[in-house]
Amino acid sequence: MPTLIDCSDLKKTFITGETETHALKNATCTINQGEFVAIMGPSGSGKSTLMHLLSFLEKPSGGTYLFEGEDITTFDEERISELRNQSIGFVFQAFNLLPRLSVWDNAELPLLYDFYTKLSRSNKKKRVTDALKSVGLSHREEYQTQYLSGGEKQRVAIARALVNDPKIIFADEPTGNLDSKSGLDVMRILQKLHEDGRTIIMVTHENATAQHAERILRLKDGIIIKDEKVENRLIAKDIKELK
Amino acid sequence: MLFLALKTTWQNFSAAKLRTFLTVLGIIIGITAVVIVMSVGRSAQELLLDQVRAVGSNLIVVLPGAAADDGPPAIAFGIVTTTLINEDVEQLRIKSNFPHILYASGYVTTNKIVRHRSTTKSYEIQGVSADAVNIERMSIAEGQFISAADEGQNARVAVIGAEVAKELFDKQNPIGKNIKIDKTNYRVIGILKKRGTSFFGDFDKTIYVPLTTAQKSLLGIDYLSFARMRIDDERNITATEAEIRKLLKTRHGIPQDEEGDFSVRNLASALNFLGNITNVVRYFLITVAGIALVVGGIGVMNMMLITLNRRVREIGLRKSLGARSLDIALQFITESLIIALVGGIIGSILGFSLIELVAVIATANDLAWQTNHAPSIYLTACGIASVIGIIFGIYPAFKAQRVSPMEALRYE
Repeated sequence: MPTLIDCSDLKKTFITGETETHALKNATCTINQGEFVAIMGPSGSGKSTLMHLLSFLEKPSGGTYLFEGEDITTFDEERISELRNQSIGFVFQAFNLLPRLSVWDNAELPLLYDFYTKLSRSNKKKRVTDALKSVGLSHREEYQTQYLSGGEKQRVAIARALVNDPKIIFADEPTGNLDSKSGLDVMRILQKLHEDGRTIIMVTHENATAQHAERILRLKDGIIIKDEKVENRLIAKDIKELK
Repeated sequence: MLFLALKTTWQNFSAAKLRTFLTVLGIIIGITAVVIVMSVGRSAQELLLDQVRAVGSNLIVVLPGAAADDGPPAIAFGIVTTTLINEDVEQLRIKSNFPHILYASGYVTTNKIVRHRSTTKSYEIQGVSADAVNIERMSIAEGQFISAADEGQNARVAVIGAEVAKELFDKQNPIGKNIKIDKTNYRVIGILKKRGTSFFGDFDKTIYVPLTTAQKSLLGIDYLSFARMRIDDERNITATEAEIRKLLKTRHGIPQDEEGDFSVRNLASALNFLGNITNVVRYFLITVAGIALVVGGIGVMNMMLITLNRRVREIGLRKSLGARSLDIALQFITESLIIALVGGIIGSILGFSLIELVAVIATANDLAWQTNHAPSIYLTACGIASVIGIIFGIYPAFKAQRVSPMEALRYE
């Protein structure tokens, strides 16, 4: 499989007044297309920072980051916006839905900022319909998201992440705010998307959740200390409850 | 991109209806004020011009007391000057000296209780010469106006305005009947046609008596309140005014190079004076309306800044989904513009309604009021609203476009 992400010595330093916090030090990794990677580590290990760098939400303080062979540190804001819109989908721990909008309107959001593919309105409509169908929310299209359960909200967020047909889906603690049943549903969907060929990169601090991935990057004190293949991988559709 | 901004704007307004309404209200008040000031100001000026056209602008007025010709008259400061007398006006009537003066009359004015049978009312009484009918362009409905003979004999006769006739005599014919002014009987010899109110006064509620009668019987004076003359042509006003000044200074024993004990004005300069006053009032009101609009604009900016604080997460999210800084800025400017424009449109409609109300009130008060709904007024009002919306939307838009997508995560 071709390499999607290739980063070496990636660094992120936050400066608050005179205090420098090295959230990420020398992270080096390669992620290929079609992989399902979990990023794990204790609180403060830099796992979220790594994900924000990989998903173009923040700029690294040092090191190199090649995305599909291109050095993204040289990209201007316009190009970064295009990458965010076209290449990635993001699933947040707190869902980050716009509460007064309908399920449909929330799922449609990335398409509103798609100035690149020149999709027709009917094609855009089909994209939203298909995305909601794939997460099992076709019957909730007109609902305002504030009235949905946590599991349903996260499924809307996944539909929103899918709607622009991105190369990678980033999931930041996707089951963190959910009960075990809803968490399992989310993992089922993510595994299904992976089966369909998507690249999934997921941050979690729960071992059980990480076991659904194929590979785990373990971080400690801002450094990737272990890059391991998952033995005895959990398949969400075969289990009844997320442990 | 514009469609996107409009769609997002609609979604955001729907989510905060009351806050949006209150913000729009600020603009509505400002724009309503602007529309009314612009329209009513124009209507008032038109009314003034119409009244002048009706009387004619070729009038000269001599007021007793020293005053600048374009300043307030001495009487405005409570100064009573007794030097302007009937003989002065008689001199002005001499054709060989004043070829351009067609008609001239001295005037005295007072308010008196007038009675006819059981009806008692207070009216303005004007003592005038026979020429006054032509100077003021009065129309006689019935009977006749005061004659030179009436003046010569101090006749106790009166010509009454249409409203006076109605109030004192109801449906009776007043001609030949007596009215009591200050307990003295005056025979009604003429009734004027209805004319309405103007800045010259209310013709319909005035009673005219011979000048000498008013001076001797009603007021006990031998001087004039003022004198008015009609000139043959507006172009001769300046020259005639100079001749009048020369004559009066000579008659009053004042050297020609000194200031006279009178002021000479013409209707054109009086109009200018009034125009200046109305313009000052208008500019003052426009300034007030402008301040109201700026306050409204600050309200818009305030709301947009509050909105920004509440929507940092939303903006961050939109950016994480691919929105560019320009999209966010445009969205904020669009929201601000729409708030102001909607305020402008509603304010214009409200202004339109209030202008109609002013017209109804003015017409009920016998003013020949013409409403002015020039499209330029409403276009200007909406244009001003839009500019306010854009100007006061720039700063919130600038702040909004700088929000980082990481805010979406930090706010979790």
